[in-house]
Amino acid sequence: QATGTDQVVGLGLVAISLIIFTYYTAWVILLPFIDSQHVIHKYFLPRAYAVAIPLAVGLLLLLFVGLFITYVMLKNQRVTKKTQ
Amino acid sequence: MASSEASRSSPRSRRELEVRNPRQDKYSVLLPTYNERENLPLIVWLLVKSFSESGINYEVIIIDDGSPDGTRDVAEQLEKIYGADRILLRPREKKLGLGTAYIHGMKHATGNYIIIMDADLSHHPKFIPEFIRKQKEGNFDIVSGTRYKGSGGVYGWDLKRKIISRGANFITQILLRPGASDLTGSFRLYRKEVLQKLIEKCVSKGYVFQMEMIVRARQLNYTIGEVPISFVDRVYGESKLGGNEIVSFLKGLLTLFATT
Amino acid sequence: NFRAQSSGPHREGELRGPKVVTMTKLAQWLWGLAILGSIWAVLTMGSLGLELPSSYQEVLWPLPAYLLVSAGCYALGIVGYRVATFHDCEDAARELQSQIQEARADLVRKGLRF
Repeated sequence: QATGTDQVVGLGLVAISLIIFTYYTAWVILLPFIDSQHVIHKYFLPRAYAVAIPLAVGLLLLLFVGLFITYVMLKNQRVTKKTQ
Repeated sequence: MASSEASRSSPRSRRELEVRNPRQDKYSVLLPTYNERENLPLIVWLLVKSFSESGINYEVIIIDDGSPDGTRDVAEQLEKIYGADRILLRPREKKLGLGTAYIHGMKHATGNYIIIMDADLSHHPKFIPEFIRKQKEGNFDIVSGTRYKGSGGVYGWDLKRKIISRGANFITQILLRPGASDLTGSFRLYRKEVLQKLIEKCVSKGYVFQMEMIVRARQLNYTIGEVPISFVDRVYGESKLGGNEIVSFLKGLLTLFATT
Repeated sequence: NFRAQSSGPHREGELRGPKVVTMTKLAQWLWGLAILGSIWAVLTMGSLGLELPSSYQEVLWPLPAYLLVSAGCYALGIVGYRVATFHDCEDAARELQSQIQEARADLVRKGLRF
């Protein structure tokens, strides 16, 4: 069996993924079929954000990964220079 | 089952030929070592125990790469204790890498099956009889120990390590669809000729080398069975998973993704 | 889930033919994305002359983003689940410890000098 904290964190990630998925599915797939006067629309941002937000998050992630890789490679170069 | 050249007989016909001689199976354990003076006697003791208790014919080939800590001394003592027919010392002068260690070891192996594993006690020999059973059960070319399925697991990993491990494995599964749940594991049983063939084809190092073996095995239509194992990590304290390992893993993964 | 046992092509009594060149995984992905991408592009731009009702159009144009977000959620969820169910082999560690003691004693008896 997995230890306590690991289980909590793991299941926490599962919960987050389900919440995001549900909200986003409602936003993209369901909302267009619900009458525009319905009260539910006030819980969702304007539709353009449905693409803009994931795009921004995706680019940030790529940036982070790129920076991480660059950092590691630079650190490597410095180490090999020292040993020469 | 006709085939034009003996060396290119289909995996299927070869498997059918080999099933007929179970009594003559011999298992060669390849143990590449570097600075394992403390652990080597223990792993050998455990190997001897597992094999003798199951009545399996075996040999242990110790490939020491010029360890400065006296590993070779200890290996020689073990050879005296258990006999030179069971413990074979085939050392090398300096640290040359895993792939070549396997090649070197196989040259001296008299078994028809090869078992590769770590010498630092993270892999327990008690699983070897299970590997052997599994291999016979499905007539597999390869049996791979998995930490990620069934009762498999690890000891001594913190949350960060677990997340990175599962994350990396997930990406690997998505990109490579390898048909095995644990690609970076190094506790495996191979038919001797299968291992020889695969090593010829593999070019990577480290974690990625183990991954590449499985990927190439799939390409060549070899069959792979899995056995859940426990991995007891006692060395994790010494930053075994730094940024360096992660980046070289990603590089290797993307190379395999783009070339296989 | 991934099959642990991969079986090769089932050919009864067949001569091994020339090696078939298979696509790399990267190539497969690119093809898949290209095909899905062109279907989506064709539909959103109405090039086929299909007049989809406006609510369907509303669902259609964010679909690529939707696929990415869903894939991301799937990845997060699966990894989270696997971290939560990653076995900690306490028993194995304990067993190993006691076997180490046993082994040391036995080896010393057999003449090993550590």
